[in-house]
Amino acid sequence: MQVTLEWLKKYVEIEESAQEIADLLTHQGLEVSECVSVRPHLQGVITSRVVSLEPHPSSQGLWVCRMDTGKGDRTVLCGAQNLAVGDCVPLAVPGTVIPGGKVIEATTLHGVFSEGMLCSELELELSEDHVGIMKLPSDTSPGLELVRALALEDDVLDIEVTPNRPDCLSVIGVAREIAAKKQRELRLPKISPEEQGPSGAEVSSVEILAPEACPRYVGRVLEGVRVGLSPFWLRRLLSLVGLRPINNIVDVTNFVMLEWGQPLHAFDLDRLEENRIVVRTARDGETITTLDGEERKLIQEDLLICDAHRPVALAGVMGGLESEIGDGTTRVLLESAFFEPRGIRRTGKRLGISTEASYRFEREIDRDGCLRAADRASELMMSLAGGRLLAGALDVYPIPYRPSKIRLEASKVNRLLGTSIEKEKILGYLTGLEMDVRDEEGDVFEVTPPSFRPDLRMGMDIVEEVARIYGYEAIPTHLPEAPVSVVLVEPERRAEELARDVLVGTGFCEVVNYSFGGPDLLEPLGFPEGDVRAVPVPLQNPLSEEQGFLRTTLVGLLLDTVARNLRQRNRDLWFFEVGRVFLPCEDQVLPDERKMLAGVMAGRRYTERWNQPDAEVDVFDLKGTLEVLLEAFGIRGFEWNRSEQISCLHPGCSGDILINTTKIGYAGKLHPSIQEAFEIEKDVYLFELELGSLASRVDRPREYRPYARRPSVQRDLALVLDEAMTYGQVVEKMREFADPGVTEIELFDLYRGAPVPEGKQSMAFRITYQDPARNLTDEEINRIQEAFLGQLLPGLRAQLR
Amino acid sequence: MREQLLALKEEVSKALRSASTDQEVDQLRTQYLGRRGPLTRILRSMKDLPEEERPLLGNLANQIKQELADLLDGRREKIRDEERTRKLRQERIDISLPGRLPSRGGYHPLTIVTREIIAVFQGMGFEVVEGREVDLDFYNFEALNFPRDHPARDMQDTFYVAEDVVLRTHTSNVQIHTMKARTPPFRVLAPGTVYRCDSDTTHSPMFHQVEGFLVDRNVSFSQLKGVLTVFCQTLFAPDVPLRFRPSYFPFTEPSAEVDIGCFLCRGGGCRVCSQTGWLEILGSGMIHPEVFRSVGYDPDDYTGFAFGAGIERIAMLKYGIDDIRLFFENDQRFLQQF
Repeated sequence: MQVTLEWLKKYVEIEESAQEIADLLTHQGLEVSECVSVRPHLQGVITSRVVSLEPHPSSQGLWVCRMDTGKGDRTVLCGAQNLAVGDCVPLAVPGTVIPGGKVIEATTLHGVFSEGMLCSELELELSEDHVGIMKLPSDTSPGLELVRALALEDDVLDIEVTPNRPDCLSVIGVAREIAAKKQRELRLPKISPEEQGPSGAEVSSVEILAPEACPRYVGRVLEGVRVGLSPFWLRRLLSLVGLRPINNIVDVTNFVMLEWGQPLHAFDLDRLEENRIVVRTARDGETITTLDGEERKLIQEDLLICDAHRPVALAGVMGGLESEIGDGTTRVLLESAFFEPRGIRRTGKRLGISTEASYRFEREIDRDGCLRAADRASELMMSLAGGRLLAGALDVYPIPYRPSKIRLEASKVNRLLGTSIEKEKILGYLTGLEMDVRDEEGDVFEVTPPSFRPDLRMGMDIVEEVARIYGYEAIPTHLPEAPVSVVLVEPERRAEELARDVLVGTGFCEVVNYSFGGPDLLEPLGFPEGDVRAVPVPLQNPLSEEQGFLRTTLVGLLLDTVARNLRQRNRDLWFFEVGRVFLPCEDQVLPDERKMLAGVMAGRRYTERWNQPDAEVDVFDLKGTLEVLLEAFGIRGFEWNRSEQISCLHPGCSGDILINTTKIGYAGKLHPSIQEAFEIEKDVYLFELELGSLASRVDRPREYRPYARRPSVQRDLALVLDEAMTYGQVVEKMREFADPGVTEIELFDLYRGAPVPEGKQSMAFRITYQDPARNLTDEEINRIQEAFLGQLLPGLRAQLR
Repeated sequence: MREQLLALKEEVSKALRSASTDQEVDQLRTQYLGRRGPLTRILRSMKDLPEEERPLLGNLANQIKQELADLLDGRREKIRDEERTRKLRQERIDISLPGRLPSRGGYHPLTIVTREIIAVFQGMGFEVVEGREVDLDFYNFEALNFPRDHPARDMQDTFYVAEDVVLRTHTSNVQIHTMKARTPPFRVLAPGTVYRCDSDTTHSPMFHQVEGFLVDRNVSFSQLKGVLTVFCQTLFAPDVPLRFRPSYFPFTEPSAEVDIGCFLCRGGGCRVCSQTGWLEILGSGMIHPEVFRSVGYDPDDYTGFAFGAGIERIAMLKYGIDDIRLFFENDQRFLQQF
């Protein structure tokens, strides 16, 4: 909503600057988002009067004008044809730079000395009008600066009116806020239109067939109007606040809408069949061509303004093309109605139309104000377009406004706000906002809000009004008194934070991807039929197909992140993400939301540096990361079970992650064909696991175990084994047979090839022997090792190398 | 004998001068002071001397022995010193060369800001709770006093999954879930992901919010001011200017928008604060009586306040990020800066 400072001043005294008013309004809940100073540069353009007017002796079409400039007469040549003696017009005296940069000079033209230039509105950049020389009001004294004479300097305030304050979608509503805060008088325009001739009811009628949707309809009839250009002040004002001037009749409806917040519509009465109005709901499939030339297809819940036979306007949203006011209109039916907000909103939403009118109707206008606005507009129309107003309004008001009465106690207001405002003051604030306040015994009072404040329905609404006028800044600042209780953080959240700490410490960057994706991020992952992840939940109104459904895995978007980074020539990518996936649930409207943790690795193990080895990451970097991660949750030596069933992973280098036989996720090398689908040229290693499965581990008890202070002894052991034997199998057996004196078993070499025979492999282990209580002697260690080997070698069908 | 001793000393000093390694010095020590060395021989022959000369020459011999030992020690020390110095000089390297670098990890800026916010409120006794991201219209709108076909719904363009199922447009749904499940008093902070169909440099279809609420008996607007003042002062600066101004949210009344003084221009007006000198940080207000009714609380029994802030917005202000899409592009060069 745009208002100008000068316009506001018509209704309330303002001595403050535009910026001060902007701050005041902002502090009262009417946020002023912009405050633009309008200061036309028209120095040297003065008012003048045509004293005499002679055709140029030799040059056809030129006029020699004698101009009264207030300080003597001047001769000015003029080519415009709209001048008459006595006209007041703007004159740019020599030396003036008019907008656009042209310098006016005194020159001799066709033998006549011309001292200046008479200007059109366009030349002064005051409007688009360039039909002729601008005409000033006939009572304008000559010799004044044009800017002063027309009060062209103003400030435009752009106010963001919240949906609960339809009353402030009007200049008077905004002025009322200033008046209430500053305790000044609100000066409303006096409205007393002169009525003439027959009663309006004799030439027209209004019938409401849908009173719920249209609780009030006021019609007024004007005859003998002359449609034409509005005077400069009105066109100027409408342009300043962002409306396009159209003609005097339409401009007046817009002016009154902005002044009072009541949208009005003017019909050409002679274009209404039988000159009457019927308000009814639409029939399914009915159509109307609106003012913008669009044919609109209607449904039953739309409300229509009709004449005897056809729709003439889409009620509260937009007028119809056929009943529009035109140059030839002489009889006007002026509509000032109240439409039920939700219906207007539904129609506007469905048809994608939002107009100044529908915007106000859907926020609820002042039902009691309809007649007043119609009268105000009628009066202005007569003064600008002539004609007469027929007696009596056609006011059909089937469902009158019923004000609510709100009882409240001053102490309750203060308790809720944490203030100690006196009752008297509270009542004063509310009266200033034009509420009807009845003081009762003791603490109690009763408020009846005015009809233009439908938002005030309960005690809390009144509390807010008190707070607004008292000023939020004046309310004291306290901390809550309630005792502080145990502060809990959900285990899943703590698990998530621990995982972040570990992974960031390990060298991973955290990413945040959208929760939605498109088919190109899901389909390549090849989830098998029957897997819930293959059928994601679609959005009904996505912004694009690429954001068409909710992700069922973090992997797709994470791979896309890798691909995008590689295209940007970022090379060594270790990323992880914590986020939710959404799995559809049969027979349930809401999907299952699960928090997942996923990571990817691609590129080199070490940053490229002169002193760092150049090595690509491999699957064991991934595994090591998982070891560190899971160890933080107290899981040592997690199980990674080879699986060839994970559709997105390389069947030879991937597996399920298990904790105590429960599968919590999967990890491995990305399947080459998926790598191709995502256009990634490097090997990618990834994992994804359910965060919830770690949450239960975050509170695991930790108990200190004493460590042996006796020296340990290490012996190396190289075994020649069948090639098919896995490290896991070997270690398992070693643990099985190991004496308690064996405290650690560490693989330090893995070798195939000569001299190890074909089909065999060599694994070299470093075995640590230690006794917590005493030093082991060589002999003791030999004994332990012999016993150990005695079981191990046959068990593994291995030889010592 | 005296001459012999003095000559010996002279000989050793001479020999030492040409000794340049530890080993050479050790050799000389053995050669001269060893059991088969000249000094031992001289000392042994002492017994052949006349009684009266013995003490004098004995003293001299011991003195020379000590002097020789000192000479040898001195020389060895000097050699070692030189050796150390040489080694230190040899080991000198170009310390301007780049270091060996572990992989550079980093928290996402949104994580950093969320953690900071959580820390402030935990200090004020708020517990952290998360809610659903896909929820019923009831929890996201209806119970929060957003009636159907009300313009307030325009403030939040909504993604729909089904007729009555939405991607939550704010974390306020946690308010309803929590209030339905529990009995006051409680103080809850709900960080999380939210969605609105809007996309440009300052709007993202997905973004993050933190919602907080406190419900008890006799909670007042001045306490709302207190809690949010502590929050802004902790997160931004202890002396940050604050402004509470009336606003409208369907689920609070009175509602307040909280602005902090623009810390970039210090109130003078700049591009970031749109020349106003203020930055909008929080929406807040007293929980609306209709909200209490919708969860079965009697608004005469309980009062409370709620507030919400956009995490991206705070992160953008804190780090000077001018395009919200950067958070979700996840370019490594962006991520490694935090």
